[in-house]
Amino acid sequence: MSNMDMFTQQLKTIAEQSKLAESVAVFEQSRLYIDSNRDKLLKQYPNRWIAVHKEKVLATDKDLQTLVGIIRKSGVRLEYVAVELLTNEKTPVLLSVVL
Amino acid sequence: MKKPPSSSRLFSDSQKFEIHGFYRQGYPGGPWRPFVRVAVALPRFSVVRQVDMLVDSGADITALQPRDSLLLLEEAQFSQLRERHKVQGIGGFTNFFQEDAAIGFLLAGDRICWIPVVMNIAELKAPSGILSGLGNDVMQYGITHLDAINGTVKIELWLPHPLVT
Repeated sequence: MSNMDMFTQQLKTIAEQSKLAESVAVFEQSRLYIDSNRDKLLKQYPNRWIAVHKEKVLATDKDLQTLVGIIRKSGVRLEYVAVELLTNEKTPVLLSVVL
Repeated sequence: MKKPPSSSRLFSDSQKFEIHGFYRQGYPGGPWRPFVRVAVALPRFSVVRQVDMLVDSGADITALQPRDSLLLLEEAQFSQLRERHKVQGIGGFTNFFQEDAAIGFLLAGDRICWIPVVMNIAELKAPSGILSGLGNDVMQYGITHLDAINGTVKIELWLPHPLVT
C-alpha cells in the first residue's frame, strides 16, 4: 500500500469515527439558524460569541475560549455546533498572508 | 471525465471537481465575503470538523484561526503543535504552527475530495475574531469564480491524483 493510499485510508477512518457525514446536515442547520436570524440574535446578544445547536442557542459569552468550554461541558457534539461573533462594529478584514 | 482547459500547469489526466461556496456578510452594512465550507482534518490528532473558510485569493497559505481551531483541538493539544513560525500579514506578524492536514471538499453522496496541505494554525492569543482562510496553496489546484453580483462562489478543482473517500 502506497503512502497516499495509507493517508486516504487514515482520512476515511477519521471521517467515519467522527461521524462527519452525519454532522454535515446538523452543522448546516445550526449555521443556517444564525444566518437566518442574525439581526434578531444581534439585538439579543450584541458583541458576544454565540453557539448554536440546530435551532437553539446553546450558550453565549464575550470570550471565545470560555464559550468553547461551556459547549464542551454541555455534552453536545462540537461538530454539530456553529459558533459566531455577533457584532455590529465595522470590522473590515485584511487577511492576506505570505510566508 | 471532463477535459481540463488548456494550460501548461495542468496534467492532461486531471479530474474536475466542482465545489460551491457562498457569500456571507460580516457585519451590518459591510461587504459580502466569499466562503467555502470544507472539512479540516488533522490526522495526528484524529480530528475533523467542518469549517467555513474565507476564500482569500491574496493569501499564500491556508490558515486556521482560534474561532475554528478551538473547536477542533482541546486546549492541551495546542501545546503539542510544532513548527512555530512567524507569518507576515497585513498589520504585522502572527505566530502560526504548521501541522500536516487535509482539506476536504464535500461532494454529492457523502463523498469527500481531500487535498493534503500544511495547515497554519494561529496561536491562541491571536485575535479571536479573525476568519480562517483558504489560500492559494489549495486554490492553485483549480479555477475560482467569485460572483458578488449573484452571490455565488465556485471552485473547480483539477486534480491529477484525487484522494476521494
